[in-house]
Order: sequence, then structure tokens, then C-alpha cells
Amino acid sequence: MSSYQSRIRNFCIIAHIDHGKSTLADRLLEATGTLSERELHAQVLDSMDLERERGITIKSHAIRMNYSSADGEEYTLNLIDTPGHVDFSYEVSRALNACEGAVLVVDAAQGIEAQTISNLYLAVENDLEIIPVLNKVDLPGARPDVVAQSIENLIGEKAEDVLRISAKTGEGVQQLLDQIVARIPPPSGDPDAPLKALVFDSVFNTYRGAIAYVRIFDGTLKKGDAMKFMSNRKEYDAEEIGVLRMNMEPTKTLRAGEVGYIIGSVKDVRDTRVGDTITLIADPASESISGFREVKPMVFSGFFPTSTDDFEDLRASLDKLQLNDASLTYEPETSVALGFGFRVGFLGLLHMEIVQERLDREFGLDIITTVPNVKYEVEHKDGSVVSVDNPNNMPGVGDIEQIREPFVKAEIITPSEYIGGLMTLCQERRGTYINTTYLDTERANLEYELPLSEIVFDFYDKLKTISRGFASFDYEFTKFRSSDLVRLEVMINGDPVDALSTIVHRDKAYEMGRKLVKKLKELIPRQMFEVALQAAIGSRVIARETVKAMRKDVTAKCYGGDISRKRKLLEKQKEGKKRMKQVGSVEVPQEAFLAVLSMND
Amino acid sequence: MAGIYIHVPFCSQRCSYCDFYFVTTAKSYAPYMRALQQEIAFLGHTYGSREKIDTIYIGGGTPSLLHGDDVTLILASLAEHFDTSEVTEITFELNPEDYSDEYLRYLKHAGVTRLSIGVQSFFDSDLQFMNRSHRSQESEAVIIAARQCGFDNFSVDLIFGLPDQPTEYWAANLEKAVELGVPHLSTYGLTIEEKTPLHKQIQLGKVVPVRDDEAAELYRFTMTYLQNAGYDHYETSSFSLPSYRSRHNQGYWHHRNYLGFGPSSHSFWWAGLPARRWANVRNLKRWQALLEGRHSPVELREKLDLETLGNEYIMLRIRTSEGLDLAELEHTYGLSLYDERIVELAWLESEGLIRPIRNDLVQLTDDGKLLTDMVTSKLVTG
Repeated sequence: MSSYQSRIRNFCIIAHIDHGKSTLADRLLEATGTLSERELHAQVLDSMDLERERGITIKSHAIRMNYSSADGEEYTLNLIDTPGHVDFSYEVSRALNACEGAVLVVDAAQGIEAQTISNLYLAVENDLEIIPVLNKVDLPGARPDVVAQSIENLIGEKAEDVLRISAKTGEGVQQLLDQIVARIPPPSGDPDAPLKALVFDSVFNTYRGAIAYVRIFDGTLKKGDAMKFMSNRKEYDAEEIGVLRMNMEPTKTLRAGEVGYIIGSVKDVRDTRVGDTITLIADPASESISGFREVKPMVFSGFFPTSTDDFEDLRASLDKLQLNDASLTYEPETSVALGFGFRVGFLGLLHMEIVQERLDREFGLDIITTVPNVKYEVEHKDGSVVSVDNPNNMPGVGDIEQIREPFVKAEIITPSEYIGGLMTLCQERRGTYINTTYLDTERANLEYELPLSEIVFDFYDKLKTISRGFASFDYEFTKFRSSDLVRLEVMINGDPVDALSTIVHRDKAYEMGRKLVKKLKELIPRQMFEVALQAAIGSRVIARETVKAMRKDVTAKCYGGDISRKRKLLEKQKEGKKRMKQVGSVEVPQEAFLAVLSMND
Repeated sequence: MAGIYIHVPFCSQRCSYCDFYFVTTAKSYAPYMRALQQEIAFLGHTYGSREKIDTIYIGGGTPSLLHGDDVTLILASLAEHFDTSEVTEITFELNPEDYSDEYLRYLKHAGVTRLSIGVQSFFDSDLQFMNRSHRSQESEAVIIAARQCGFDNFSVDLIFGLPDQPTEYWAANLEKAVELGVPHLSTYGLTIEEKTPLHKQIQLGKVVPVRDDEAAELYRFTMTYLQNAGYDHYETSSFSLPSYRSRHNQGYWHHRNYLGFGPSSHSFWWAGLPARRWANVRNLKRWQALLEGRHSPVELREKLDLETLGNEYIMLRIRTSEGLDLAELEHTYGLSLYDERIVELAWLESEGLIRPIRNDLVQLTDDGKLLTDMVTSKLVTG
């Protein structure tokens, strides 16, 4: 090990939402003098508004700190921030790969949550040194001894050794810094070997192009070096390299063990893929760092502009979002009911929600999203297999040999009293029970195999309701498996509504069809004529409701002189009208296209 | 020529369906009268010399709770601060339980030319359901008395579509009004307004509102019955024998200027763009206090551009039997529905909701009248 490496520590923080990761990060920045309290505008690492609001980290970031430890040595600490949500588990795994250690933050009141466990397992798989800490020990509801015990059960750290801190007050932060230096091993790697730099994140900057955040595993990168990305063999010059403090600080070299950034006029963020390896053209590494894969979307939804004029704006906005989010995919889609839009693929539900919200907030776009669905593998009678991410592209029943759907392994961590209710929920969602383990006397880890399609909507909400908010949940994809699935279609006055097609398990189709048309009946206002609502599998109608014709629609009195009120009602109605979509001759409000989502309200 | 509306916010009890502003606890009307005179003087200062007054409408609430002297005082005060020399109509809302020959004669003497009588129904069960404070015999007696005291020009309010009201009752109500020779009828379909006792009862499931097909039948029956009896259906809810239309109300539908006095009253003034609408605070005490402190009692102010006015015109005029004048809409409001809504107009005609357009007039058919709001929403722009 070179001497400079012995004074580097690369680490990340693993924590559940709200357990205090960002606050702790702020304290570390402060304690190391990386920025003063005055500069500290709450939770600097979460630089997107949305992140700050939700208290979660969507994109990972990194920051370099200097720390003079008790032994008088000056250390470089690289904190690599990781996203906290399951949708981004691949990004998490790459960020973890860039570290030698992880600080596991657990809320002393709430205890360990499912997401923490998933990320913790990832950290263990990556051979990281884990430093557990109990946070928020100053809060009234804290149960540090119980939670410390569950940490011992989980990773073997002696309960009495678990560091107790308060990121809020700063209590214990100094000890934590000392432990980081003492326990986390310094990076290894040969600065003279061929270059291997792991891209653990990338961001897009309008002026500089794609900026890759890297951890150098082997070799040394110098400013101006000709480099290439090993997955796609794209070549660039390292025009600027440097380290990440509060701002980017250019340097002349980045050596094995260091963390920094590379700017090379990369126009497209899709060329700087997370997990990829950068090497030098002159002296290339023989193999890349393992673990790279192309991230594939798991959840799909149709995005349609409420106003058809906005189609091009929507495309431009998605283009812009993709600059910073290589995992976002989309292609044009046409719907009879909703017009021109896009089929958008996401890593998961949170990812979808974030994209939706960013379109609204950053681009002011009003969109309708169709019910999310997963990707199916359809095997034809002739043996050929196609992938279907849109219910409307499902081949005819006669051509299908079998349909396979993605399954996930789910872990649910819950106070034991809710196990019964949660098992019922999983059963209803076609789950297969795997195992239950107890983390401590009060909390259990429930494992199930579930079809992904059963959790893409309202599963999480149900889980929270049943457990009164205490259970947490995480999942990972396991495999595609054959299921008895059918396409459920909805017709409005005989016209099939493509935007309302769903793929469901045969056993659930009848109930779903019934509920769906009933909900639509509530949502579709009376028209001049009677409207028939039908749910069908193939040509067979399985449920029907009728919206009676509107017979009377007249305001009796124009309220003395209060014309404004009547006019405002009219204006409101007019606004509502704009949001209506035409199916045949029927005006359908946009909420109706989300009827499936609100069926159980 | 402008109109004046005076809101008298007192009631003896609360009608279950009413969402107008009123109080049932006033011990003295003196503070109200003082503030009202103050307000008349204020507005008179600004508007008194701008336009002559054509119609005055004293409504509520229950104006007939006021002493006759107060009515005289109000009219005198208006005469002092406005040019009322050419007033052609002074309407006064009267509740059946408040009438006496003496009171009616006093009103006549004070200058009231037209009564609007809150009969609502000639059946006790209906009146009880609405929590009205009069009985059915008063409903009839007040009409006879009004005529005896010299009021030929009066209007009677009737409400249809009460939950559980037998259809025959509604027919009987209309029959009674026609039989009594009532020259003007305002028939209102019961509207369930939020924050009323009726709304609450419905939410609690104690009362089931009539279905809209039933209400449609009642309205259609009303139109047919009264048209056969010689009444002119000149606005959505207004029927009159020849020459008995309400001039004041027609002012609202013709964008005539009007000034409102009293808490919650509304005003409209259009003398150059933007036109303005404003409304007083909906609170008697605050309205009084503001006026006493020589402050404006207005709480809502709106400026209306030409397109908004045009849309108001569509909304208001489509309700009248004259109909919506597309030529006037174009030259006064700069809105051409021939350009903007030709598809909708053709559709409405093909559906039988409007008559074929002649002389640029869009007029509702009886089928169209049942769906006035829907038709309006098809025609407004923006």
C-alpha cells in the first residue's frame, strides 16, 4: 500500500428514510471544517429540491473531507452518498462498491427497517466494514438497548459497543469520526497498474456535459489523458479531473484509492453509465471492474399530456430528464382515448412518482399517467418469445402458449403483532410464504415471494395501513415465471378504452372487472345519453354498469345580484372540461383513467 | 339607468334550504338602519350623479320584518342621495306571516309598486319541511289581501322538487296560483346548497333528494302548465302574465348597472373597461362597524375584462326568452360565436336543445331549458 493510501477512508452511510442520514452528513462536514455552520444550509448533500422535501436521496453524490485524528495524522475522508430507496438498488450497489466501509445509521426509536437491511446486505456482500450507530438517542421515544440488541443479532456487533449518537445535537460525532479512521480499512490498489476507475454516479451539466464521479481502483489518471469507457468503448479525453469538496476542485492527478470527478466533453449521460469502468487508451486494463449491468426498467406507464398541444413539450422534457437519469426509458405511444404520449419505463414506483413530479414542477407539464404495469414475457404457440410492456400489445389469446411475469423476493420487517394481517395481505396478492425470522423480541422479518405486478400499486399503502405505519418493505427481482394471466378490457358504450386495459390473474379478473366499472360509474359524469360501462375478457363481458342520461342541469336562481358565483362555477366547470378526454362520444374525466388505482377507496 | 338592491338581513327563523345571508337574533334594527343610511350616503356621493335610478328592490332576509317607518326612511334616504325621479319599479319582499292590511297600505303609501311574496307552497307539510314560519292559509290570504290593498303587480315564489313532496302537490300549487290570478311567478327547483340544514340532513341520510329525472319532469310540467295558462316563460325560473315582468331582475340579465346595500349585497358597475363587481362583507356586525368607522364594507372586488363580460352575457342571456343575441355579443363584447362555437351551435341544434338560429338569436327549446347549464358550458369561450 502506498503511504498516501493509508490516510484515505472511503465510506458511505446506510440508513432508512428519516433515520438521520442527511443530518449526520451535515454534522460530519461541520466537524471536519469542510464547511462552517453558517454555510450549512440544511442538508447540503441533497441538492435537488425534491430530495430535500422528501428527505430522501435520489441521486448519489460524494464529498471529500479532511480530518485530523487523535493520532495527529491528517486523513482524507470520502463520503459517498447513496440513494435510500429500493428502486435504485443497483446504484446503491455501485456506490457501495466504491467504499471500504459503511456507517449503518439506525433510529433508536424506530429500529431497523427493511430498506436498511437490503442495503446492509449489499454492504456485507461487498465486504464493507460496518460501523453501526444508534441515532436520535436524545429523543423521548428512544429504545437504544432493544435496538442495539437487534443490531447485534443482525451483524454480530456487541450491543454495548454500538456507538450512540445524536446527529441533531452533534453528540458522539467525534467518536464516530475516530471509529471511521480506526476501523475502516484504507483503500488498496496499485497506482502504477493500468487504470481502472469505477463510475459510481454521473450528472449532466449544461455547460460541461456529463460529469462522471469515479473511484480509482488501480492506476493513475492524469489531466488530459486519453481514456475510454470499457462497456461501450467510447473514447474521450479527461479534460478536467478533480476532487469533490463543496465545489469541484480540479487536480492534476487521481490515483488508486482516490475518489473524484472526470469531465471529458461527454455529451450524453448514457455514455457515463453507473458501474462502468474507465481505463486509459494507451495502457488499458485487461478487464473491467465486475458488477456492471445495464439497468432495466421494471415498471411501465403511459404518460400523456392533458392538452394534445403539449406532446412536443413532453418529449423535450423527458429528453432533459434523461440527461440526468440514464435509467429512464421512453418511446412514443398512441392511445385512442388519450392521444399521443409515451410509454415510460421506471426502476420502480418511487422512480415513477419522482419523474411525474419533476415533469410537473420543473417543466410545468400536466400529464395523465395510466395504471403502471410490469413487463411480461409472452411465449407464442410457435415457441417464439416476446417481451410485452403494454397491455395493449398483448398478442391474441389463441397465439399464446404461456405468459410469464416477474416475481420478487420481498422482505417485510414488522412488529410481530401485525404478522397475521400482513400475511393475509401477501396471500391476497398471490404471495408464496418463504420464512419468518425474529430480529429481536418485538420485530420479525417476513419473507415472501410475490408477483411484481401485485406490488406495483397500493401494496405499500396497504402494508402501512395494516401495520399502522410500522412495517417496512423491500424487494428484489428473482425471476420470470408462468402465471394464468388474462387481459381485462374496459368498454365505454362499446368502444374499448385502451388506456384502461390491464393484465390480471384470471382468479381476480371478475372481482377487478366489477370494481372497475363500478368505480368508473362514479367518475364518469352523466351525459346527454345513457352510457354503458363493460369489463370484458376477450369477447366475454364479465361486468356491466350504466351511467344514466342527464335529465336536468339548470341553476334555478341567479342569486340576486351575485353573478360572480355562477360565473366562477362555470369557469371551474370549464377547467374540468378541458381535462376531459373523448371516448367515442362520451366525455371522460381524467381521473377515470386512474380508476384502477382508486378502486378500493 | 341603474338599479338598487337593499339587503335586509333579518329573519324570524331559518328556512332549511336557504343560503342567503341573514341573522335571526337581532334585537333592534336601529344599528342596521343607521349603517344603511350611512352606506346610501357614501355610495350616493360617488354614484348619485352618474346615473338615474330606474328600479329599487328591497330583499332579504325578510324585509317585511322592518317597521313601515323604516321602509319610508330607506326610500327617502335613497331619494336624497340618488336621482330617483324616474324610478318605475320598487319591489318589496314580503313573507306571508308578516302581512296585515295596515302594513300593506303603508307600503303602498311609501311608494312600493310591486310585492314579491315568499309563499313557496300552499301546503302545510311542505312549509314545515322547509321550516318556513307561515302556514298554508296565510299563503292564500296574503295574495287576496295584497290585491285588495292596491297591489296588482306582485310575484309569488314557489319551490318544486322537495323531497317526498307528492307530484299532485306541485300541480296543485301551480293551479292555485293560476286560479288566484297571480301575475308573476318565480318557480325555483330546490337547490341543495352547502352549509344549509337541508344539506346536513341529506348528508346524514335523513332526507333523500329527488332524482334528477323527477326534478326534470316537474320542471317540464311547470313550463307546459304555465305556458298553457297564458304565462310567458321569460327567464329560467320566471313566468309572467303580459306586462308583469320584473324590470329589476331583467337588469341583472342585461348587464345594467346596479348598486347593492346591506351586508352580503352585490354591485356591478360598467362604465368603461374594466367593469367591476364587488360584494359587501357577509356579516351584519362587521358591516355595521365598518360603516360606522367610515370604512368601506366591501370584501370582494373583481375587475372584468371584455371576454369575461361576454361570457357573462352568454350565461345570463341564454336564460331569457329573448335569447342570446349573437350580433350584440359580437359588436358589444367582441365575441363571435359564429367563429368560435359554430360546431357546438350546430350540435345543440341537432340535439333539439336550441331553436334554429334566426335574426342572430340563440333561444333554448323546452328540452334545452332543462339543460341550461350544460348548453352554457358548450358556448362560453376560454
